[in-house]
Amino acid sequence: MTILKVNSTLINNKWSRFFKFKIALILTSLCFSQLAQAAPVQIYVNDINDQPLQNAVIEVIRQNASLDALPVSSAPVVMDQVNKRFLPDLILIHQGQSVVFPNSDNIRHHVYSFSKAKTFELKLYAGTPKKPIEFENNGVVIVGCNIHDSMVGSIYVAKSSAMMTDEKGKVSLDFDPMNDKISIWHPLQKNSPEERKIIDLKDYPLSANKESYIISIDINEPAPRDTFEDTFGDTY
Amino acid sequence: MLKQKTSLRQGIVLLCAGLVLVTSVVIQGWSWWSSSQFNKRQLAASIDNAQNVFEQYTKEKEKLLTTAARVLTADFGFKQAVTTRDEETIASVLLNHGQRIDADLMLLTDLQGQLISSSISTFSLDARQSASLNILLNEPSKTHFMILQNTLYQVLALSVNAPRPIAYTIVGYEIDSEVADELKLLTGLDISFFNDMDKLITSSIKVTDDILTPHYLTSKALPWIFGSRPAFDNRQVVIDTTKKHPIKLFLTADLSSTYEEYDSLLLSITVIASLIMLAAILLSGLFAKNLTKPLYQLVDLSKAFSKGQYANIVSDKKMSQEISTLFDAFSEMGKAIDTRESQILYQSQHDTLTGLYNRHTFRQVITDTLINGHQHLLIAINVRGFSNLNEILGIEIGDRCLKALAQRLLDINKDGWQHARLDGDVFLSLIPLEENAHADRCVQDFMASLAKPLHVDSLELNLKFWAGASIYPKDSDDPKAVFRRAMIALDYAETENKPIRYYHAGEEEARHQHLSIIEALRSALSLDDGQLYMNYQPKLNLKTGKIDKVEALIRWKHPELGFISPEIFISYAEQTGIIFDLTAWVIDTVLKQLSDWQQDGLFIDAAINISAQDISHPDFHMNLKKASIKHQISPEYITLEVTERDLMQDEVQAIALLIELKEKGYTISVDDYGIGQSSLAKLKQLPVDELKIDKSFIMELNISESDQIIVGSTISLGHRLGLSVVAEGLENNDSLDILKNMGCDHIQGYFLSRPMTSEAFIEWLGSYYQKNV
Repeated sequence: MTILKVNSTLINNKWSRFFKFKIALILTSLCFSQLAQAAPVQIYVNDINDQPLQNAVIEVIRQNASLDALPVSSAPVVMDQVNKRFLPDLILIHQGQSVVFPNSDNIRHHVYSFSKAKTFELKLYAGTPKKPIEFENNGVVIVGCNIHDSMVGSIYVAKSSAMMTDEKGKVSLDFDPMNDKISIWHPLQKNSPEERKIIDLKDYPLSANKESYIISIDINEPAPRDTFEDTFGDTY
Repeated sequence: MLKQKTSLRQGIVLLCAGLVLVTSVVIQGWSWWSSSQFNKRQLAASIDNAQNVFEQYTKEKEKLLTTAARVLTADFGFKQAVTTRDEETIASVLLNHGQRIDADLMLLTDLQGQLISSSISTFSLDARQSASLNILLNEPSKTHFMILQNTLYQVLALSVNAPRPIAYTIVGYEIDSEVADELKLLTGLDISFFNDMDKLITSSIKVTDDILTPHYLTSKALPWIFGSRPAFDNRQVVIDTTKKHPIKLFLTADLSSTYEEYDSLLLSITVIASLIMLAAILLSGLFAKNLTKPLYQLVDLSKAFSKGQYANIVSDKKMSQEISTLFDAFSEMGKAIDTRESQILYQSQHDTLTGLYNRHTFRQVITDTLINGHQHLLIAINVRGFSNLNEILGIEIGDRCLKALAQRLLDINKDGWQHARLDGDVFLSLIPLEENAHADRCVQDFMASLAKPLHVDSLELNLKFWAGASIYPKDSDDPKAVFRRAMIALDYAETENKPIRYYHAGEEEARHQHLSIIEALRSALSLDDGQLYMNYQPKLNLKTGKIDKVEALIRWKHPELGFISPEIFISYAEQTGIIFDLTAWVIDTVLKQLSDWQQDGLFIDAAINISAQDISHPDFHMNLKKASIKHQISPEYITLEVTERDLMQDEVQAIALLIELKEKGYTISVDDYGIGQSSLAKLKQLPVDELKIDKSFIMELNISESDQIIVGSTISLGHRLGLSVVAEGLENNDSLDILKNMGCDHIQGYFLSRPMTSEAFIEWLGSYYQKNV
């Protein structure tokens, strides 16, 4: 969490050196904003090593909420459990959407979540639960299995337009970066797992070609899987 | 200051005791050093061990804590409770779950380290502790030591995953005195924890907390005989703490038990060393006594040797070989000294040639023998003409002769006889005289047996002796005087030419007088104060009837002793050698007188008596010449009278001188002719001008026919040899007539005149010529 701060400070420092340019850029982006209604904003997310970061969720926080045109999907999203893993371990849904947690393993799982957005518990079960779970609140819901600590899954419940970065760390969203803010979240982020960091892109520079924003976030290494320690704790 | 010498015994005892002392001190020192080194290593090892044990202990605790905490944080209910964020619920959960794993401290913080809840209701964190907790959170699953609420905890932070971390649980075990005691049991060492202010947190050492500080541990000393020694050995161990809360851990070894062990070791070594030293002193004392005892014996022996006691000593069988050898050597030395001493004593007491007593010892022998008062005869014997014998036969034969004589003395020895040889050829025999025995008879017998012929090699010697004898106690009851008087008697035997001469009473005293006379004569000669003067006796020339000669005769009138006979003092002067001076005085006086007379117109011859010593004296001629020049008296006025006996001594030098004198014009006259043993043949060879017939033939000439024959034939013999003849001692006119008839040249005697002074002579001469014109 602190590292991101340090990172943004660095960027700020960088910017303070080009203060005059900053003013000029703001003027330029103001000009672009007139055009932004039509063209989607491209955002690149890197880790602190400037490597493209996949699976980061960018959600637009609009000034004008009425502009949110949310697609209403009736079909519940599936988060399967295969080989003591959630599959997929990250899904992006809209507020009010439901998720079904079928158990494809031949062992039972006890899926739960203590997240604020949705606290639920599917006590030891096999096969597909009778009812999907409906996520009526937006936010990040971390799901786990009570008997398999290594099983961690994340469900991003979006309120407005949100998108996951592709393998190039890129998203394209239609919004007005001069007025709207965005939030950014990543399942491995060093920040609190449920915290969505709100970013005002006005403070962010455009890329060299003046077509995209670049955002860095600090993440943890993914937890190793299927190790002895993972199975039995510390080796003695 | 004189340094006191150490005795051998003390030396040996000191050496042994010193060796033991040094050995024990070295052993003590070494054992002290090595045991202290050993202890140090042991201590270091045990501290190392304790440190390992401690580390192991904390690791074990850490594992225990980790396991317990993991189980706890994995508990679904716990997670559920945590997510409720209901503080009271969480606090009760912490308490409940804490009790499950027996933890003393349970905390729950959020991911930022802010305290959410605690198992201890009053628990709160200050800023420093929060900072420390953050360090803890960055190293989850690793225990640290931390002081919270004044209590030391071993703490561990673990995240609460639901399934992502949502909070941190901090689990801690309190490190209290129970733990310290447990650690002490495990490590064998005391363990103490102090905070950064050196304030005690907990310790297994049971002393008042205020006292127990790191300084107390490092500086506490226990009193000891050699000052003091540290009570503890400490090691400060670094333990995992957050930097904000440094904790000092002291592993402390209590040294008092080590000291006790060492002290008892020291004591036993000291006791053993003391016993050995005591034994060494006793044994070395005994040994030294055994060694020095013979030395003291030798000292006693040496003292006895110095006193001349050469007792034979036998070495003791107990003695060591060396001492025994020393004793034998000492014994040998004593014997050798004894032998040599008796040899030296014998040599000092005896004559080396003959083995008889020597003079010195014989005096003592005489004294010792005569002390019993028995009558003894002491005979001194001198071999007649022994010097001739030596000259003729050689000293070797002479010595053998003396030996044979000594042997003869021993051969004729009788009970109680003792003999000695004095210098040269003088022997002494001390012979006891029987009661009523006749001394003369005894002496005669003795001399007779002595006089028997002696056989030396192939020679048969008939020795003749002079013997002087004195008788104890008749001659003196003083042994020394008896000795002296025998010697005096021997002197007289020689001078009187007697084979046996007894000491006569008063002779020793006369000897003393003799000595005083000699002194007086010397004094008279040097003073020349008229004590000595000349008398002149006229000689009548029978052919001319004139008084043409005088005989100068010396006279001495001592101011105290009166007139002293010329016979006495001249013979003394001859014996002592001052005759030469006396003669010189006489010559000077007579020549002066002649000179005076010649000046008065009286030209007369003078006859001067000279002795054999004068003739043989190398300066005599020169003196005579000087005197004649001094007084201008020509030699023809001087006649030198030499006795027949002196002339016959046959000295070449004397004869040469006489010849010389005769050639110078002096007249040489033979005095006392007729009583000596001169041969006419010898007389012929001598440069003689005049014979002076001895007065013994003249005094009774008129009544003795034999004298007349002797004198007549002597006068005619003299004349035939071309000598003039003087008759001395003429006392009557009849004799004068006889002599005139015999053709004698000069007469001298009382009939004519007695000797008289020069003045009297002149007067007499005048009156004589008046009477006989």
